Amino acid sequence: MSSRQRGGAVAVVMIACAIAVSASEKKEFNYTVGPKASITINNQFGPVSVKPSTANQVIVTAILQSNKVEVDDSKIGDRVELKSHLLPGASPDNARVEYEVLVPADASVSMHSTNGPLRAEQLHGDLTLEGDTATMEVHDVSDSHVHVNSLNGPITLTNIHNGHVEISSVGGEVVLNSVSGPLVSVTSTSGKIHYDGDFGTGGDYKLTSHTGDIEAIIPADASFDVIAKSMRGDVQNDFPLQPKKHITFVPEKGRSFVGTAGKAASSVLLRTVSGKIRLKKR
Amino acid sequence: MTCTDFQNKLPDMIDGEAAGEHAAHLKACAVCSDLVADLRAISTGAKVLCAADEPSPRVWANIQRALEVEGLVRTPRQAGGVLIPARRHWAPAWLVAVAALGLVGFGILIYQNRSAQPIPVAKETPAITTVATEPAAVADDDQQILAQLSPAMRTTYENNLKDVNAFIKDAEESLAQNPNDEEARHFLMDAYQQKATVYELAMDRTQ
Repeated sequence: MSSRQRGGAVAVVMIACAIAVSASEKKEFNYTVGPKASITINNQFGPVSVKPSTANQVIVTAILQSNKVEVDDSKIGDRVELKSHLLPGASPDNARVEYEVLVPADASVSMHSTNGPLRAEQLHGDLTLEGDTATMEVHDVSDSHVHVNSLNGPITLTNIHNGHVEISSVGGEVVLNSVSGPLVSVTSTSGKIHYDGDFGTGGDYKLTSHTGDIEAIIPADASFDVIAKSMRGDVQNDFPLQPKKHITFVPEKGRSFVGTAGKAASSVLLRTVSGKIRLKKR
Repeated sequence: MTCTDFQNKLPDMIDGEAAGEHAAHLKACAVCSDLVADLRAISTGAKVLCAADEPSPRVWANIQRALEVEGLVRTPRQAGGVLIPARRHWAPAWLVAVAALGLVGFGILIYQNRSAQPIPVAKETPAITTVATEPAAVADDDQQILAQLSPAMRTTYENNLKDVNAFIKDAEESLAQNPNDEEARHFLMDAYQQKATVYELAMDRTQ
């Protein structure tokens, strides 16, 4: 290709990019809300990212991919709702909207997207994330209820403290890093569940799967009671557990184990039908 | 014949066949033939949607039959039954929502019933019957949900429902074999909750 042809090709690409950019539209919404406001974002296609704002403001930036989609917004009291409204001719490509949302840190946030990704960080209000294949990430959240429902999207929670965490995922992998609280419950059908943390200081941890493997990596000084059972898969324990004084069932070698670490502050239940379970010392 | 001429006669061709010079243009013009194909697909889809607008009475009958097998409700004396009101005025979305709630409720009732009254293995016939007869009913309910989704989403949901149904089947079989096994009961509850999650997500997509 000659330099002249190359130049022509570059020009064509640049024009195409310019047309694509000019087709998208940026919209901004601004609301003043009271304490513990409720924010809902329903985005059929595209990402939603939620971060804390500095005041009692909800600031939304939405980039609309084309005129086949519009954003419907409403505010009633301290409840704000935003919804991507698909118009005739909309498709997953041209109906994509990118939401960047700043909310007061104590706001309850509910977000939905088919393909995402969905991301929330540095908040301490309740969070609900729902998606089909959307990647979901929540990090640096405390004192919150975190509810996640997903079909196949990978889910990652990092640095969640004093959380009431409930995750339901059919096929997506669930990764929990430094997640602790009074309740941490994960149910998956075929997705793997990976927990890396210390099981906190007095919570209920339930990790359940049908065929997905369950792995927990724990520091040596963790304090918990554990029951691990796989009905048809293997279990493996590399953590130095003490035998429990009272057990409600007789462990079957290779299929289940029970034991205690430290002062047994938290209760841990790992169970699967045919997945593997592995408890490892970090 | 121009595309404009052809498209002026378009409504007549969606449900019928093109003839004469229209047929020749349809054969020669990719734009118009794509347009006709799309409109026919939409027309067919709209008919299916109308049929699928409301869950069939079988959904209600299946839930009721399962509850009867479990001994949780008695056979109704009046036409329509406990779960099939003689006249329904609810919006279709509500009907599907209630079907999902019924599913979850059914799971909870099974759990509570078995939890409160463990039955010896030799007397487990009703539960085994339920396991054996349920897949057809479950398939009907699933089809109702799937029919309301766009074709692009249907495959994803269909695959996920297959996985969740396998989870439920495994848990049911396990509980049938070990009726006093607490873990098996929990698995069954978890499996039903997974299915409820899939139904909820599907319903969100249809609103």
